[in-house]
Formats: sequence, structure tokens, C-alpha cells
Amino acid sequence: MSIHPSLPSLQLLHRRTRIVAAFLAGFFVILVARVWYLQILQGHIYKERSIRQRTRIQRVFAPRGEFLDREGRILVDTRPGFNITITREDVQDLDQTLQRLSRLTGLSPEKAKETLRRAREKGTPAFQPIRLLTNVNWKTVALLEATPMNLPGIDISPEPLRNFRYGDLFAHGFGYLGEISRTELSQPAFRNDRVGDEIGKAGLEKILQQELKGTDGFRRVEVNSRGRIIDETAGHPPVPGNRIFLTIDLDLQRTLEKAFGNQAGAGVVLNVNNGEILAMASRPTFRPDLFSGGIPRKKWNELLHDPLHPLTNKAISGQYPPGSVFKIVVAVAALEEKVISPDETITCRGYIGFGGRHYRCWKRGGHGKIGLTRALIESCDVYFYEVGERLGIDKIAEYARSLGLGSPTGILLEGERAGLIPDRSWKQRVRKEPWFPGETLSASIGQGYILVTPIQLANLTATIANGGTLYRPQLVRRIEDYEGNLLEVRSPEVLHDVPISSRTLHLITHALEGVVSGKHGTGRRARIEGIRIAGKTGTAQVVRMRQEEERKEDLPDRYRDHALFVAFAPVEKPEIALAIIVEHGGHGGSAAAPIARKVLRAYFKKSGRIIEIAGRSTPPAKEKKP
Amino acid sequence: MLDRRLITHFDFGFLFLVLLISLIGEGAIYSASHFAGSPPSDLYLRQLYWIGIGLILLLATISIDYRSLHRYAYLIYAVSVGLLLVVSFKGAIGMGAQRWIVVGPLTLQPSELAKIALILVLSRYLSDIQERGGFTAGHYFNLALLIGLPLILILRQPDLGTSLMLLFIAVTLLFLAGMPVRFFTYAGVTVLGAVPFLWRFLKDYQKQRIRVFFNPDLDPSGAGYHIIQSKIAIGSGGFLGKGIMHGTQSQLRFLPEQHTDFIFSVIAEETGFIGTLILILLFAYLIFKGINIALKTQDLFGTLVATGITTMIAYYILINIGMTSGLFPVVGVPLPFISYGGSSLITLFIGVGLILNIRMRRFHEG
Repeated sequence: MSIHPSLPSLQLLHRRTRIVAAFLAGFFVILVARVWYLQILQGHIYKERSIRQRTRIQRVFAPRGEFLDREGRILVDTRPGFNITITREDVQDLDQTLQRLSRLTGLSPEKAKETLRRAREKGTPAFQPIRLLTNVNWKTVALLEATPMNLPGIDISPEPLRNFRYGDLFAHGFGYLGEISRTELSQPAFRNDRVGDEIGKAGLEKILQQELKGTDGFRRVEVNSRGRIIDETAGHPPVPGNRIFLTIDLDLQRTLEKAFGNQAGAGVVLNVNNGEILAMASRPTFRPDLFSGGIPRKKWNELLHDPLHPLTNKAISGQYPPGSVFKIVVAVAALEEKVISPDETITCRGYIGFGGRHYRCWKRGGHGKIGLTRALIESCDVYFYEVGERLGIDKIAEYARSLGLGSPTGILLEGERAGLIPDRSWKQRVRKEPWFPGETLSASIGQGYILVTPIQLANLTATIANGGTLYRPQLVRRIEDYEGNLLEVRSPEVLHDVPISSRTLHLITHALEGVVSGKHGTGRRARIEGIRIAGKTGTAQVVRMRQEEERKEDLPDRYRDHALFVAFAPVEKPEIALAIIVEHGGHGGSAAAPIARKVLRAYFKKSGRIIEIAGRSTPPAKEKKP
Repeated sequence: MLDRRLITHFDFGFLFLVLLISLIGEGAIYSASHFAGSPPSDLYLRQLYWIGIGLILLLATISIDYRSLHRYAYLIYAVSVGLLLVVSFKGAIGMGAQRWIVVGPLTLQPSELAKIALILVLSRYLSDIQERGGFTAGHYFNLALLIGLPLILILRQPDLGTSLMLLFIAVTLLFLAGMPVRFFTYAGVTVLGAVPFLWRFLKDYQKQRIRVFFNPDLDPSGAGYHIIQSKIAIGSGGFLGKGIMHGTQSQLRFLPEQHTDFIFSVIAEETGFIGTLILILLFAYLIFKGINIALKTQDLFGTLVATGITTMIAYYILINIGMTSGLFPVVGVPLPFISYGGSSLITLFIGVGLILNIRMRRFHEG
């Protein structure tokens, strides 16, 4: 076949080809204009979007500062923990992702969705990871890491977790951590914290929050479309929190807590010469690490409604009548006010008649003619009724307050209670009643309205021991930064000097030594061979009952009296003072003194001043009432 | 055998231009298939093989006088439709979109061949009509049949992009061959009127693509994701680009199908406005040269074939760049000589072979 162009149609074809060419040329111009628009006119917008899309700022949590004991032994530190987070922006199929995650971790998809819903409500941006699970175990981490199916948007993010090395040891002192609340977030002190952060919620963790928390670092990372990290472009390492060196001695603390066994109560051990707290316990206690990551409601209710109040720090918040321990205060007041001379004796017939009533001594048959020293050693009530009456309530209150009772010591912990030292004006003000003279008698033996805290008793004892200096009990010795640079040394703080003559102190100390070492001493269970110990027992009435009722041992535990014991040692040059209260323990001599003994023993053993002799123990006290 | 004049009239410049653009494509594929944090891929090597095979087919195409293709146009068309039917038949048994025939180690995509076949058959038929003095009613019916058969078969695969390409090529050829302009007006009005009717025939994902085109934010993580990511890639390239192998959107896999349909975005991101401008200008020059060859051709069939192939390449370019830059909805159309893929490369090289064939024989009266 042949192709012979018919000229008119070829001309038409060429003309139309030019039209098509022009049309195409026009389109090429449009394309160039379009690319110009995107790359030149809007280039900066897309550049920003491109950067934002691939870079993530990751927070690197700062390890919380450590707590160390006075010898530098770590009590609380951090350990690596893992959270599972979800980044909404990276999730392709939410339902599928949550299903798979549920299979691997057991987290129900509904619960995860609820978390996401809350995050959306709070306006959390889609690129910010949201915690789904905190503190997951190694098995789960390994499972997630090893899972062949990719879970876009799900990440394992490391976060240091609080590690209480000794479990519940000193739990009330440390306190615990918990998730920051809405109100806390709005406070200026927490302006660098975020939703979901854990902060100190109680105890030293709370009070020293700013010291402990450190400064979070960040990592700027480049991620791919699946959220996998490809490169780390910039960053700043976190600065761990400061190291807190406590005044606590780990050995004494452990001894003290162990000594309580199953008994409820509190104990405080002080260095008499500077107010440092060597040990402080409140029983029963709790495990602070239970609170991290949210304590289960059931567990929380158990703790909250436990009749033995495990969450209360009884060492500073428990208010108890001091019982016979208060006789120390009355004795000091009487000697200083010279209402009595050391040699003067009072006759105890087992009771004293006053205002038409009989006030009894614990010893039914009476102590007979008794002087100050013996009255303290044998804890004669009648002697102190007489002396107290001579002093009057206002003088007693004055000395009690001077020795630190009735007002908070100002220890670095929240929730400290003041106790109560009553006097005339107090009664008039609060009760709208005059002071009845008979009430002075009750007060003289530490009953009635008087309430004290264990730490006040320990402080009182230390003040007698050190010659009259009332220190503020101290918990923190020094603070270092994480590299060990000294930031702060907390020196002993003197609340005031109590004007007591050395003669008075000498007399009292001598008597208190007799309490422990004397043949009729009520505190003989605290005795340690080779160490001179001064102490005083006390029994605090839980239920007011007629004094004729004797057989308190038959009562149910919760009605039994609290047992108290205070002591300091060694008498010749005092170093350590302590106060022990065993709730419903019965008598101070039998319940509280053995605990004190264990602590004192540990203290002196540690300093090499006693040598353990197997099987040796001090003889048990015959008399039961202090 | 080989006439010396054929060598004299061989357009080396045109071939060089095609090879240059193909090499740019090689570079782009190399860059686009190397993701940060992944082992290197050999896609660029495979593309190199395809270019080699394409060149062999190009030489084969040149060696046959295009006028003999005039004779075999119907046969080629029949074979092509036959292959489409095979695919259609296999597709009916198989699942989803079935576009390929596997013959030993080769995978053929008959819809690619159909483009060349349609250009040849229409050029033959339309030039014959012109020879005989113009269109009659019967011609329209025959034309509708010739165009409709492959179009429907490809639409059924389903392959909207190729179907549209076939339609554009056919319309262009009809226009070139002198079909009255009013016909296109009527047809345009008819098509617009039929849009709501045609809409029902689209697959759900196709409908979604068109909806999302008008509003990408409708589905930013699904269908709209392509457009959004592509625009970010192009736009963030700025004036000078982020540097070859340094395109963050592509290296970090934010860009989908980046070595095939969205390769332009990779080039735009890495080489910036300068690079895209050079590429578009190279393409424009290629089209200009193709048109020029067509205009210099003195027979109807040759002019129609040359223009048909040139406009086919042009439509590829316009639709692809228009789609990646957000001017058109996303339809699967590769960027000629640049996108990874053997079938389209072979079609293009055969097409280029035909243009060169026409060019070198334009003064040669056999």
C-alpha cells in the first residue's frame, strides 16, 4: 500500500498538532508555576512541617536524688523502670494496636482508650507519648521487644523508679511518691512538671521534693514514618537530684524497728549533743513503693482504715499521756523552784486524801517515808501528788514547756502535733471552766489532760542528758549534688537553753540511773552490763477507770495502757537518748524498756563498748507497775 | 541493507535526551530506595537492566520501517486486545486487580502495549479516513469500537490511570485527524452530564481518592496522606533542595511509593526548585522535539503516530507531576523514564523507537 499525503488534510493535521503543542506548552508552564508556588512561595511552611514531622523531643527523666544514712549507706535510690507509651500520631490502626498490646501485656483496650480519651480532653498533642502502663516488668519489656509484629506508636520508655532498698524501713520518714495532682500542677513550684509526673506526696520525699527531683534532660531525635528513631540530633543529659545524707543510722533504725515485733507504737532515738535523730520508727508501717504508679484502691482503703493507723507517723503525730515519765519534769520543777529539798521525805501510805477524794499510789501498801531519788526510782505517785500540789499547775506547765513539751519541735516533717500542756488559762480559754486543784494531782503523774508526742519525750530526755540544751530534732545532716559536691551542711539548731542548775540535773540523773540499775528500779529490763543507763518508765492510761480496778491484764488489748520508756546513756557522758511507746503494751518496764535495751545495746556494741556474751541477759523485773 | 541516509537522519539528540532523563531517573531511584537505617536496595540495578532491554527493543523498533507497521496495525491491535482478554479472564479467576501476564521470567503488562497498539490502529484508521475524504457516521461507530474495547478491558482490571491515558490519547488523535471541534464540545457536555452516572461505576477507593483530592484533610492518614506527604516533600525542598540522598521525607519513609509514582517528589525534595525546573525543562524540550519531528513528517500516518506518542509521553508527565504536586487527584501514573518499573519503560522506549523511526525515514520514500 502507499501513503500519499493529500495536502489539505496534512496541513490540517500539522495545524492541529501545533494547537496540541501549544496546549501542552501551557500545561508545562502551569507545572512550573505550581512547583514555584510550592517550593519558593510556600517552601518555608513545608520545611517547617517536614522538620516537625520527623523530629521529636524526648524527655530524659532525671534520676531522683538518693537518701543515705549518716554513714553514707544508700537507703533509697532509683532503679531503671519501664513505661509503655502510645503516640497517637504514629498509630495506624488503633483497635488493632490495642488488641495486640492487650495480648502482650494484659492491658484491656477499654482501659487504654479511656486513658487516651482523658489525654485528648487535656489537650495533649498527638505527637506526645502518653503513658499506658507504668513500671512494667522485664518479661513484658522482652516480649514487646521481641514481638515480630511491629506496633507503630507503641514505645517502651525508660524511667527511673524509686527504689526503697530496705522495704518499709523508715517508711514514715521517707514518705512516698505519687502522681502530681491538678492543683499541684498549677502551683509555681511545679511549673516544670507535667501531667503524670510522680512527685513526693508525703514525708521527706515531699518536703525535699525540690532537692530530690533534679532536672530532666531531653533528646532531640529524628524518627521515620513509623516512629522508629533513626538519629539523635541534639540533647541535654538529665541532672540527677541531690543526695540527702540523713542523721539516721541504718543499724539502729533496723534494730529499733525489729525490736517492736508485731507491737504498735513509736520510738525516737536522738544524739543528745546535737539533736540528730539516729532512728525513728512508727509501727505498724507500710511499703512506700506500693504507692508508685498508683496504689490499688483496695490496698489504699486497707491502709486507711486499719485501726492501727499504719499511715500515721506516730513518732511525731501520736499524742499520748506521758504517765510517770512526766515525773522527771515535776522533779526538775520542784528542785528548781525549791518547793522541796532533795533530802526531804514525804510519807506514802498508798494514797493521799485531797478535796474529799482519795488519790492512790500504784503501790497499795505505800512506800513509807520516801525522798526524791527513791520516789523517781520506784515511781511513787503520792510523793509527786504532794510535790505537784506545792508547785501548782502553772509552774508545772512552765517547766514542761521549757523542756519542749506542748509544742511542735519543728522537725523537718509534716504532720507533727503539739501535744498539750494544760494550765489555768488554757482551761479557762478552752473549757470555760476554772482549774480544779485535784487536776493538778493527776497532771503531776502525767495523767489528765497532758498529751505529749514520742519525739517530745525523746527531746526532753536528751535535754536532761546534755545539761539543759533543747535542740530541734534534726533529720538531714548534709546535702550533696549527684557528683558529690557539698551543697549544704545542716548544723544543730538550739531551740533554747533550759535554765536548770547542774545540781538539779545531777540529782535527777542519779535517780534515773537508779530506775534502771536499782534493786527496785522499774526500768531494770533496760539494763546492760557495763553501761550506765538513766531511764524512766511510764504507763499511759487508755481508758479512765476507777483506780480500784486493778486487773488490767484481763482487758482486751485495745483497752490496755500504753507502755512508755525514756532513757539516755552513758550517764557519765551522755551520747544517746531515746523514747519508746508501745501502744497497749501494758507497763513501760516490761514492754517498752526491752526495746530500748536492744537499741542501746546495738549502739554500744557498734562503738565497741560492749562485747556480746552469748546467752547473757539482765534479770527480769519483779514488779510490774512503774 | 541499512541505507546510509537512515544514519544521517537519525536524531541522536533525541535519543541522548531520553537517555539523560533515564539516568536522572536512575539517580532518583538510587536515592529513593535507600532509606536511613535500612540495608541498600538493588532497585536501581534492576532499573538499569530494564533500560538495557528497552534500548534493545528501541533498536529493534528502528530497524523495521514504520510503514510496515501501518500494514500490521490491526494485527498488533488484535494481539493487544487478545492479551487484555487473557488478563481479564485470569483476573476473573484470580483476585483483585490483575494487570500482568507471567511468561517465564517475564512479567508483561498488556495495558502498556495497548497504548502503542491504540496509537498505531487509530493512526492507521484515521489516516485512511482522511485519504478517503473525511468522517462519516459509520466511522464514528468503528472508532468507538476501536477505542472502547481496550478501554473497558483496562478499566475492569481496574486501572483508572491507564484508562484515562488511553482516553486522552484517543481524543488527541481524533482531534489531530480533523474531527470537527463541535464534536468535542458535544462529547464534553455529554461526559459532564454522565458524571453522576459514571460515579457509580467507580470503585470505593477510587471515589475516596477523588473526594480526598478535593480535601486531603478528610483522611490525613489514609488516602490524603499521599498528597499531604508529597506536597511536604516538594515544598520543603525549597530553592536548592536538601541535597541528593538527603531528602528527609523520602529517607525517613514518610513518602509513599516513592520510587514509582512519587519519584518526582523525591527529586523535588533533594534538588529543590532548580532541580525540578531543569527536569521539567528537559521534559518540555523532549516533547518539543517530538512535536517537531511530527511536524516535519510528510505523511498522515507518520505524523499521527509521532504526535500520538509524543502527547502520550506528555500526558504521563503532566498527570504525574500534576498529581504529586496536588493539582490532580492521585491516579497511578508513572513519570516517564524516571519512575521505577519495566513495563512502562519498555513502552516508552518502543515509543521513542517509533518516533526515531519516523524521523529517520521522513525523506525516505520506500
